[in-house]
Amino acid sequence: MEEEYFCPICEEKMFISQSEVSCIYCGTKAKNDYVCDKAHYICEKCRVANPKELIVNACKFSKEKDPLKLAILLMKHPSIPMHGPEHHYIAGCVTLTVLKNLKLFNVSDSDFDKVVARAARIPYGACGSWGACGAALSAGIAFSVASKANMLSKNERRNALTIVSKALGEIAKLNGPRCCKASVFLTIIEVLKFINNIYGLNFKVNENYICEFSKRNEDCLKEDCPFYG
Amino acid sequence: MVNEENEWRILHNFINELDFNLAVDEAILRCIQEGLSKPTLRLWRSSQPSIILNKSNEVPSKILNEWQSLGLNVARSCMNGCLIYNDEGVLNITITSNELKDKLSFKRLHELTYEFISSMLSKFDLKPIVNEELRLVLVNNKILASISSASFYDSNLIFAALYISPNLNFITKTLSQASSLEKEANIQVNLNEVKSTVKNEFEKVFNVSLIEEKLNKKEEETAERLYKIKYSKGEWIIKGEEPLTLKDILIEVYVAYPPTALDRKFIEAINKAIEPIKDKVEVRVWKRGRGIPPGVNLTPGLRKASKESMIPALIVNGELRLGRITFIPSENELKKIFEEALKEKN
Repeated sequence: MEEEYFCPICEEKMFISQSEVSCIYCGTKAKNDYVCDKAHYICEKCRVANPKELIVNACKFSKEKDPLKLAILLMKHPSIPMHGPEHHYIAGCVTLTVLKNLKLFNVSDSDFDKVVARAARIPYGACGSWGACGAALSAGIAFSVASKANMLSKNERRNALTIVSKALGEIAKLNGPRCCKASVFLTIIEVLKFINNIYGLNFKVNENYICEFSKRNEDCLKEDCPFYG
Repeated sequence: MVNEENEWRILHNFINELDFNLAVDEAILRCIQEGLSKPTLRLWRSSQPSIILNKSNEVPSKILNEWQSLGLNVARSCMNGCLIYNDEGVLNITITSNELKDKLSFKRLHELTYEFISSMLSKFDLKPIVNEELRLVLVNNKILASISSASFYDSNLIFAALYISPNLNFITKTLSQASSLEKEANIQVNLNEVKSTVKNEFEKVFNVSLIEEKLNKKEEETAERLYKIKYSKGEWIIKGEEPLTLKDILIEVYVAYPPTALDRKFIEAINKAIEPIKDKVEVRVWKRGRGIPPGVNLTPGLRKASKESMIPALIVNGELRLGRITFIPSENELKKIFEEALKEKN
């Protein structure tokens, strides 16, 4: 009997599509492959990609302006574990994608590689061992890369430092044990608030998002987490 | 109703050796998972004063030596829970079922076990208190039963050591808060009477009928194999190191979810290559992001393949042999890998 597969994005049953479908992560078109009723398709290249490849390629391709939606899509990929340093890349690359798609900065494809290269230097568990969460730091990296900031810059340096400090403040309030998903959500919400504030935008911030990952999280903070529901 | 027929089996075992009894428990769990056995209540005892370490207990050699100098035998079970004392005055109760077939979750199985043990002790005019966190049943702040458990895929096993009339001198040296049913109830207990109470209260609390049966052939064979390669070995008893498989070779294939065309061809090629030795091989296909079921150990090779996104990958006896391949190895190449693994094993 043919084994059944369920969509990693929406958990609907998958079937072999005879018509052409586009990969939800990178846009590659294919047919005769697994797809669900909602037309969610993950191409073979993305199915075997490592987390770095997946996140960078998906963010380079994405036209998404809502960073939370993009972060959740990336988190649902089978290569992304419940917790881990992959979430640093997600926070950084998703922030950079939004800065690019909102046309706030001129972001090139190589900028995504720069974000990941810098974020890769943050160890897993930096929240506990350094007192600085990798998701928050990576959002700072994204602002730094997009604005070409360095230690001698003025506003660019301030912005990178501000977003990190704001995100860290919110993550600290969450208490422990760590939840890499919640840290990314909090970072992204702070990124949007910050962008709205300094660029005079009115981008909607979904602070009422209900986490879809809590059931699989053995260390879930449950009622103590603002995303639990 | 907990299973379609509302019928469980009850096994009384008179095998004296503790290690073999522990192998029998795991064999029943495995056979229930394979759909070869009914849900089971098993009652057994072993005569030698012993300490049963649980799956992950690490005990310093100094303590092991102390126990041995007291004349205590040391064994290890496949379960998680607290340290257990055993001798002929301890009635061991093993409850095994399948979550899906018997519609009993792991949590519910625990709840019913505590309820049935408490109900059974109440028949002796005792007032038991359950401490679920410590997995104990207490009377007058003394331990009368210790609970452990194990899971294997969708099947669960709960083990309760019921302290009826253990050697109090020994038991209190290892479990200082322990006592006995005889002492707390202040009566002389007849073991057959206790067994009868256990059976009646089990049927009442679990709402099932118990049918007297024996181990089936597959369970006996599995228990003998487990005893030979695991429960009688020092590596397991002292260090907790268990064999990767009950067969001679463990082949793991790590693929994408859903598998790619290359993954599917790779699995097909492996199945073809193992055809001549399939009785000696256990094949497990792991799909990225789908997790590993309870009771199955993550091998070093699978950990590496998963961490480094090596898809597809071939892991033989825990060692990564092929990773992120772009073409299917020939049947001969695959056969050579498996034959080498067989030779190493022998």
